[in-house]
Amino acid sequence: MVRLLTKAPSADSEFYKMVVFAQAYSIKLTTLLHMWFFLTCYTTCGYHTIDERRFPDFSYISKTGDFTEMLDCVIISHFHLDHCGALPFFTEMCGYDGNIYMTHPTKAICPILLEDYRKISVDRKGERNFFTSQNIKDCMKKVIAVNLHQTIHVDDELEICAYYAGHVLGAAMFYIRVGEESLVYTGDYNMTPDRHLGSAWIDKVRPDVLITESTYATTIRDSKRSRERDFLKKVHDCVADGGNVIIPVFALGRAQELCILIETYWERMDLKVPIYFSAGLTEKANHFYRLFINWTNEKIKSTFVHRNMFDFKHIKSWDRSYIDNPGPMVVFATPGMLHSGTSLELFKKWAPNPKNMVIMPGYCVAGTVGSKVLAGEKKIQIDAFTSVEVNLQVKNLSFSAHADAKGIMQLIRQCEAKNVVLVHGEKSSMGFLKSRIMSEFGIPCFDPANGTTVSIETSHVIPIEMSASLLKQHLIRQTESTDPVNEGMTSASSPEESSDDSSESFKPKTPSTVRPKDKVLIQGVLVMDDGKPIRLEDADEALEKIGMAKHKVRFEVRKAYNATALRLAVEEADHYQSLDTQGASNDGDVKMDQPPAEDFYKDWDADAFALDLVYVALQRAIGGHIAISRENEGGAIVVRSVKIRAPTDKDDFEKGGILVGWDYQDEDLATRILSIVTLALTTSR
Amino acid sequence: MTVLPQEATDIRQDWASFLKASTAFTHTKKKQRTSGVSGEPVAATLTSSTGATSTDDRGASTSATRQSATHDYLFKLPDFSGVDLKSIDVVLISNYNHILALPYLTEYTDFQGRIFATEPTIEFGRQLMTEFVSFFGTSVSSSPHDAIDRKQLLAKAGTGLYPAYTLADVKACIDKVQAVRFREHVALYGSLKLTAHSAGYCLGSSNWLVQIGTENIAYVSSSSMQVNLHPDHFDGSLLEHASTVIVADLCPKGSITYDSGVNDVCSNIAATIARKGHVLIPCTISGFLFDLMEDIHLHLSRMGLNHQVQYSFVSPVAETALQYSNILAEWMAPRKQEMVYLPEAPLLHGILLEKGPAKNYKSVHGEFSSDLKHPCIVFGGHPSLRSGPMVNLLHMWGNKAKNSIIFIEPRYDVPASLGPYEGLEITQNACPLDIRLSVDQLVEVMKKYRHSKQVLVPARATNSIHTDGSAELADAKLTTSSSSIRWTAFKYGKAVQLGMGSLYESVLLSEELAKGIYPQSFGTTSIAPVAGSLSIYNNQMQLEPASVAGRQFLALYTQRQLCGVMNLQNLLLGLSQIGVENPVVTEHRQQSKDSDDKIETPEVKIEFEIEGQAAAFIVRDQETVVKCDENLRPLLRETILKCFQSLLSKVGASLHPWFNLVTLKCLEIPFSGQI
Repeated sequence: MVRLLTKAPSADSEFYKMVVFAQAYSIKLTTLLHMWFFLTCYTTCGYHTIDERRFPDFSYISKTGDFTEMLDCVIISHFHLDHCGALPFFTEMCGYDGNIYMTHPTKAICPILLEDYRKISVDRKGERNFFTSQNIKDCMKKVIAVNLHQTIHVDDELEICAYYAGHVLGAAMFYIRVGEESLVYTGDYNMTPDRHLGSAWIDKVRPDVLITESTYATTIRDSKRSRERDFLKKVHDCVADGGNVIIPVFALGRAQELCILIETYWERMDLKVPIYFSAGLTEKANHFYRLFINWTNEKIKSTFVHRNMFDFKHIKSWDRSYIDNPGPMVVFATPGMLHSGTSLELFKKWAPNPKNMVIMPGYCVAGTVGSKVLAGEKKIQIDAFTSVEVNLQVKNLSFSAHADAKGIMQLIRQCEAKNVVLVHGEKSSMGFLKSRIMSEFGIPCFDPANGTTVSIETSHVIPIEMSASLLKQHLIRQTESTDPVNEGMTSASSPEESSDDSSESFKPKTPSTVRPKDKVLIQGVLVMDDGKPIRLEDADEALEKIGMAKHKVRFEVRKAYNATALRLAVEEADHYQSLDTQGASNDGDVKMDQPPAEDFYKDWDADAFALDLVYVALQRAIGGHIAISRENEGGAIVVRSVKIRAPTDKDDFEKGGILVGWDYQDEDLATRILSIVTLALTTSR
Repeated sequence: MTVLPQEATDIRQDWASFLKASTAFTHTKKKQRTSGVSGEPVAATLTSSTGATSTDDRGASTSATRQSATHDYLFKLPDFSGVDLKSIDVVLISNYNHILALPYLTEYTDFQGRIFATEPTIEFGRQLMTEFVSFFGTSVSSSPHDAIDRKQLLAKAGTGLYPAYTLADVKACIDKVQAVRFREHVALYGSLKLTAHSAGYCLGSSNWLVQIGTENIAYVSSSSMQVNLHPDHFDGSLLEHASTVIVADLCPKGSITYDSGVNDVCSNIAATIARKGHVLIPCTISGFLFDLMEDIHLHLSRMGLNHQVQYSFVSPVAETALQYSNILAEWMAPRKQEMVYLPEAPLLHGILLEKGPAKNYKSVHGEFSSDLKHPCIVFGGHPSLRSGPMVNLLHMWGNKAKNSIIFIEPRYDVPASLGPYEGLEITQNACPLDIRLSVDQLVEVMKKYRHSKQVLVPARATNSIHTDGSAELADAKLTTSSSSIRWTAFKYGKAVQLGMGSLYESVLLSEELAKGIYPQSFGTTSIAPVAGSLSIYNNQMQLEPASVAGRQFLALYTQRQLCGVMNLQNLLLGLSQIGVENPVVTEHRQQSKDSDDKIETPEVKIEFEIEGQAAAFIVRDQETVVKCDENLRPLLRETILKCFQSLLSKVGASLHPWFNLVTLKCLEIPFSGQI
């Protein structure tokens, strides 16, 4: 428990909420006292075409329906209906009135798709209790458009920032930060650039939690180029054979890439087979792409002035009457999962003929016609009255711009996530990816089922402000006290601790390894004042702040030692030394040497000798870390306020020892020094 | 480069050079405005304005070179002499008017820092540079020899005149600029944070918030509060927390307002078109021109003249500039942003280009003359009229009084531009349109963001400068004194010292370390000693528990402190508790022995014997001296500390024996690495 935080006793539970309501996922972050993230993650169906649960179950967020109170903001990652389909319902019919954020292109394109969705649902399927056109307009008015990388302060604590996701035009990943805790919600993203979009990119934001989609959790797709060749060959073969090709797509996004692809191929091969695009949206969509060219990739951006990639020569818009036209054709038809509209109509018509072909470019929600086609069913029940024989060729082309397993791993590496939560994928493949992430990165990974709660403990850090002068003071000290070789914190006696911490522990003394210090040892006093930021100050400053008078205590201690023993030891040492040297010369030399030595011992000053010994010992033990100086007169050793000297007549002490004096503030240093002194004077060898 | 934090903290003196540089370049109005900030966080703000150079400089240089057949144009550069360019770590570009000299800095000097600008600034800047090269470049060929020669020339010439750079320089220079967006946080060197805020002046124009530790400095460059322009609105939020505001570019006093200027321009154009004359508007294709286009078109429509007029944009970069400006909806005012949701081109020229009344040309050669059917309004060329299409057009149309030339760029001297064209009959109008902040507007803005702060303005915006450095503003009716704002003027080549107050760095305290912290409260304030290892990575400083070796090292520097007043009674009581009998207490009034230079203070000497050894306390006002043998030390230390500990709270004691937190008055703070 972080006690520091209890300084404001009333704040026993700081409670931040935030729902990322994008797609089917609502992520509720609750930061509690201990600053853990409680992450509720449920995968209800944002937009489910066949389920009667059209909209997500918002009661997960609030039982009372007071969503505005409960949520800080709603973020829409991109314009696909499974990510924003329920937005007007939520704002206009459930009464959410808070901030809604999305990127500019999403804000532009979203209402068109919503309107389209509304039309299909209400006009064709006769749904009731659906939002109206006016609802969509009102809802979009509340939307706040954001730019990439722009940091938006939702309130005092919550800030969000969008990053390019590449999935469709305007798709974004969101970095969300509350205090020092952060989260990245990816929405859908794509890590490989395609023909009109760049790849997703994020700063090294080091989020505590990364919530990533995992649609293609296990797929590592083969190279882009070969997939494209594959796609084009299949289409070409089919039309050459006189068959019709139906490509179910979303009106925006993937469709544009496929169009660019087919357009260039047709141009190169000089094909005349007509290509149609079913949605009336095309023209408008292309106009959007032109205005938001900044959101496409670099290549399109750099050439747009001269040639707009979205002016297609070969692709014409679809008319229902063409359905009976003879001869081969290629039709891009919406929607992408064959659940309604033109694509279903065409599919019903063309399915029985084995010459025809359907190319399923994306992922299909379970239960849709598309998913049944993908599953290889030969007879598909479309509704209560209709069923279709499926004879046409079915090609599953994984063209959808989701990140594959490799891409997901790449993103985790890029943002250096501390925890990963996988959503939007199939259980089994998520499990596979999960274990891979855990083993490769060594970070916790979760794949919560719908409606379950995940608790993730984050390491909590506390932001404080440190006095710059304090930092400077420590830095200067640590640079001064060290040798050219940069090892301020290295204790000479601790080579064995090198495993502890690379920069703090022992480093080999090769001059070539000099590098800037990235760690500085700091000590100071935390000053906590209500309502002000916590500050780390110099002790003196801090004490001044709380208005306390300092009291100085000085110790003057006599350090007794056995001078005789010391002298004997030295003499003995000298003796052995002379014996050693003697070995190299003859006996006569020894006698020549002896007399001056005797003289020396006569007025031998024990204290001065002891000081010398102590000085050497101190230099050896702590000299690398702290400045040790000697006074010229009397040879006193000074280390900060610690002074080691021989007693003088002024002192009241009895003779027979050296004096050690220090201020109480250097008590710890003095203790250390005293122990070194003791050691030096007792075992003088 | 890794910036060591010791440099990072040494801020105050560096700010002097920052300011020095900033003043230097603002005042000379050279080519480029760059504000540098660095890891020793600081640097230089090099400011300058448009075009090639200040007009008179160029007038002199070009007329001098005109005689030579090579058409070698020479330019005066921003004065870099006051700054050590190598020491600049960051250059901030506020808008494309301030970028033109950047290649000189990046390609011809030893500048090695990083450069930041918004995306539109980079793109328009590139276009302006390209245009500049095509107007004034020596020749198309830029052989490597050429480059070397010019580098040497630069090195030698000091602040002399230089030829234009080459396209290769432009590319190399632009590649070095890093794009940012509004309100994107850029963290550098651990303690420096940069944020661009919209300035409202043109697409992508920015003001910068520089945060060093906990100090905020706002750099306000060309900004505009003019309503109904296409760029995103002026974002004043950067002023909210700024303790210092540097205002670099203000509208000169006595300028006509933008609205009336636009009216003049429109009526002049309408009059010329009505008499079937051509209109020349020398300007760069950027900035408020896009708004002016709309005003002109609207005015001509109202006058019923719009069907017989043709708009021509003549510039090597005209097409790019026009197309590019229309895909920048995110950088525009909300009114313009709405247009793309329709979807429609947000700027009118997009529609005009599509439908035909507007056309763009690379130069006046070729298609331009064959397309010419109606009276034509020509935008483009260089406002100095020294090169580019305007030269040809003036030769073509300059002799007819029914044609007219209108000067709209505020930063050029019209008579000087027209100098070489004396005697032309073309109608001349000067309607400088200036949308920059005026001094009055600045005062208003500052009032809105009330926060005790210092504001630095260019000296020319002030009336008088007081001896204490504070200044009185020129235009403002209701200035200074009353508010908490301190106005200071900066001058060319003069260093300004910024009072940065007490500086703090933001640091994160790791959970591990925080767990070992036990604050003790004193009234509303709590304090707690902390020791740890400060690591600097990820642009963030974090205080963590020190390693074992680190703790040993820390112990050497541990500073214990005692607070409070020594109570003699307590001391004697303490002594008796450890078995001292009959201590001899004497009071002296003489100079103390240890502190020879001190004045005479009363002192109490307590002499006693314990365990057969003599020891003494000398108690003075704020000092106690203990004299004893080494083996008595721990015992006596405890006795002394107990005097301070008498009211020690039990909780504190049991939790942390080392933390001798005492009474409300007395406190001991050790900083051991006990974590």
